[in-house]
Amino acid sequence: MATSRAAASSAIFVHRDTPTNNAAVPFAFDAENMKRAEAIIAKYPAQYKRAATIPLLDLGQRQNGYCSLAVMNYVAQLLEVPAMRVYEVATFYTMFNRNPVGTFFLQLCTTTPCELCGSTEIRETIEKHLGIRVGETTPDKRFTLVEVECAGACVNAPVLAVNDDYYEDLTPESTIRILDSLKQGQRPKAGPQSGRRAAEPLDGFTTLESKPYGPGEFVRADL
Amino acid sequence: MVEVFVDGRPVQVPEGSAAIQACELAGVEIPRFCYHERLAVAGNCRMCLVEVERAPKPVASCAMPVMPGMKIKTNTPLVHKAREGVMEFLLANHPLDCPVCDWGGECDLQDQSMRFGSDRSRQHEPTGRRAVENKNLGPLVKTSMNRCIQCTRCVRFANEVAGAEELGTTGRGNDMQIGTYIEKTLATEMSGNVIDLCPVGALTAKPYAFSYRAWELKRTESVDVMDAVGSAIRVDTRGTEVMRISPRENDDVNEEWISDKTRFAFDGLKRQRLTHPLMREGDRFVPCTWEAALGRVADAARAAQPEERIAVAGPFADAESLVALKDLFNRWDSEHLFLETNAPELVGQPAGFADLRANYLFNATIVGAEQADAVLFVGTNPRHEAAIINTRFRKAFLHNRCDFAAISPEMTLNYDCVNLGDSLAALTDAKHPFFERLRAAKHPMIVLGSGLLERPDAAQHALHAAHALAKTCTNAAPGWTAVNFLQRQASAAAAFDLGFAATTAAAAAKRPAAKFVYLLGADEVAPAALPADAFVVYQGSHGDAGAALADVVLPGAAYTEKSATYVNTEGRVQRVRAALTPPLAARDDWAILRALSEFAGTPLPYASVQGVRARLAEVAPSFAAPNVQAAQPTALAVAAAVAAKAKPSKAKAKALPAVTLPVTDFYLTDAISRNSRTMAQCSRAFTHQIAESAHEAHIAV
Amino acid sequence: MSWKGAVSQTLRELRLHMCQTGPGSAGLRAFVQTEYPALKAQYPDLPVLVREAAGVEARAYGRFAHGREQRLTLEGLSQQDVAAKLKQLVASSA
Repeated sequence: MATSRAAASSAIFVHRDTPTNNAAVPFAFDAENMKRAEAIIAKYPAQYKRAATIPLLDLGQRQNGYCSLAVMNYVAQLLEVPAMRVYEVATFYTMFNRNPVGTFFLQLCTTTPCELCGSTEIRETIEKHLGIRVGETTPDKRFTLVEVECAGACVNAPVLAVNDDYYEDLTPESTIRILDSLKQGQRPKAGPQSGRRAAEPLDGFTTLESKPYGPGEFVRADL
Repeated sequence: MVEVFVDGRPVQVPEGSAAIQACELAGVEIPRFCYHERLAVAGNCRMCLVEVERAPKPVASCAMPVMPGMKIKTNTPLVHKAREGVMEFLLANHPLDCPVCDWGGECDLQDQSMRFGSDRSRQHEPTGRRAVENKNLGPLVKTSMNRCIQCTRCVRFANEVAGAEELGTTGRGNDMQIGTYIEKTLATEMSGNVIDLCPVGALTAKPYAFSYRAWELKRTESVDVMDAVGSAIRVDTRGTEVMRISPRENDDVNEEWISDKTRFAFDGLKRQRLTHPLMREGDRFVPCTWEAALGRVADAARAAQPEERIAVAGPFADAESLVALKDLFNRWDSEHLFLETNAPELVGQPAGFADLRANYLFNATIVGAEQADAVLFVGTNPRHEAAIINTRFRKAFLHNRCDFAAISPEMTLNYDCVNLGDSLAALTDAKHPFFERLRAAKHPMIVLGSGLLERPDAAQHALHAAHALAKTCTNAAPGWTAVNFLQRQASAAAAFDLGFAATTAAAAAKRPAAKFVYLLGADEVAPAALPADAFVVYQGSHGDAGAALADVVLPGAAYTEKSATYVNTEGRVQRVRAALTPPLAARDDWAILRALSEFAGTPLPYASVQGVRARLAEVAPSFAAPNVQAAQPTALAVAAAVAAKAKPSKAKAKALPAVTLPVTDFYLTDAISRNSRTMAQCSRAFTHQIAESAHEAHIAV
Repeated sequence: MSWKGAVSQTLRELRLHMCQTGPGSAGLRAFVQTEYPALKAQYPDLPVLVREAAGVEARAYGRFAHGREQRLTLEGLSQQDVAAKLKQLVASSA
């Protein structure tokens, strides 16, 4: 018996038309975003407008909720490049969600440092609390849960990114607290949830405890 | 020139070449999948790795520019290991499809794996290979994307050469897929070339899928006649059937591309063929013998007066039959010979048009078109009329910053082209800012289309105005010709060369009603232009519109079945070769005319192919020197002088009709393509954009 | 040079073959450049086929009624001699 190899990514790299995601659906930047877009395009030389593809796709994704086909086509038209060039960029980067995601995009890191610090338990907590599995969206379309690669906050593992905010030093309790907060429309304070300010050691500083020496100190007397 | 050493042997290479080109010059074969001389370098297959002295790692020779004194080694254990390793990786995800893959037997992956790969596999897992969705690229290109090795040759070809920017790569890493992302066909008239480019069987031909193996085919080198470019082709036959048509390399004409019509219209050669002489009895055609048919034709010819006999040559008439027909008619003292480009009304040529070769040829040459930096099209859509020359214009657009404008109805080209409206007044006026660009250009081109000949007064005006405009292009490089004529039918240039199409519009207007009409493969003649009581003879290969009008039908040979001469739009004389014999009772076209001359009592003085070809050289000396393109300086000078005297004016231009384009559907332009099932599918899918049903999209023929 | 009345009733076609650059065709080339416009202006419906090919000797063919042809060699002749010989050719009713 033989099967094909398990796919490395759960995304598919071809487009499937849906009633809300197809070429006929219009999209355009609103006035404020248009200003931002023009500022972005102005950063690059006139013949390399396509250099603005990534920032404009991100802008479109923020306005539209996800990077739909309409967003990609609009950006292509704005940058005067064939649409395929924009599709290539949008499919290359996982940051561009080509399918709708919930209002709160929960990205849980499950790479080694976070795994060692208990991200599995966090994942189970979220799944149980929201009633969805990884990759799914809640029926009210408010939460989508995905596993992502290293978020770059390993000292504060486990880490959950919600839209643009990082919630670090998570425990099952703090996770539930954050989720409930979000459900009520609040934006809980981002950063470590354990009380520390940043990435300093949890049980106090072990270095930099004394006053740093300044100019003139510890220098030979005869110099 | 730079000297490098390949395996110890010194070799001189042009500066800026890649190491792989140096190795080729040294006679060493370097395996490669993604590198192609006519496409941009990608360097992603890694099969061309060679060892370079003092380089820490093996080097991708396609991407490494040569340095003086570079020592390249292609035969070391490191190189062998590298090739085996790359091959192993490529085969790791490649499905075991060889028995069912069309490319088996001519597959680059098979050949290079046998020659450069390891002799055994190390794969044991039952769950192994990547699976990729097949894409629907249209009725011509069949995709089996499991086999794709992501060399991106097709993507580079589609984007650079064909100008079809909808093909690209989505995803990344092992999940990278070649496709159009959305459901889109590869709607370009050069799409079939990706089949040749793909090194594996991922992109194969859909119309003739699963119908042959490469080693069964007999290959015949020939030349294409579906347009006037004269692309070099190879006709592959098995028994009595043409199985496929592939391109041959000819740097001066088609590089190594052919258009989709050239490639896929050949299945029209198997349908609606005329196989026996036919005589009309009432409303039916009855087969008869050659003697009966030719005797009847000769009698009808004798019954008409010299002025009442006319002949019309169609798009596939070869030079031998054109000269035989002309000689025959001339012996009967009949002078009214027309070309199908003057159809449907048989209007004749502008006065003096056929006299000077520079009037009706693509003077700048096909290769020269690449150097153009400002091009004005008048009444022509080069994409439909000469797809190969269009690729040269695209090259000029990409590499030479060429600007384009057109005096024609709106048309979509695969490069930016400003539309100046469809009135010839725009040409005489020359006021639009584009004309400043034209006047300042070093290699300006004005390309007149064969569609203009449907109205000889318009054609003449356009020609004179073009010369007047060319005279104002004072910045043009010396020796460069600005005025060009683009033919769209393979028979046209030969017909003009031989003086076949020399009847002027004035003479044509004065002729009496025709009583004897000889159609040499001409299907576009309007029935209204032929009197109801005229005796019509149709000689050709297909029973199309022309044969339906005939009283006697004489079956001739198609271009794959005869050894004949054609002249392309540059004036290059080329020979097609017979890959098959004509079907059943059909015969070589010139031989039919020779036989007819015997029956008519005016035998032609030649009875062999050599005799006809000697006669060709006697009529036009270019026929004695095939495969070269001859410049026409005297003719050019005279043409310019004649145009200057004529003084084309804006007032005259305003009175002329709007310019139209002769080709409305690229895929259905002549008897062969109209009878081709593949061309019909293409017309539906690409011209009319009717999506194929899911069933049609995935079945083989 | 006036071509009025120079061409006979039976001449159907005049073909002029020449080399683009060879010295032997110089006379014929000069003739074509100078006289072609006048000849065509007088006889616009007469085909005068000018055909250049490398290395070809200068020659002219006149085709008369019923396909009869007459051939003239014009190799090495001056423009005046070419003109004289051609005038003779087109006037004949061969």
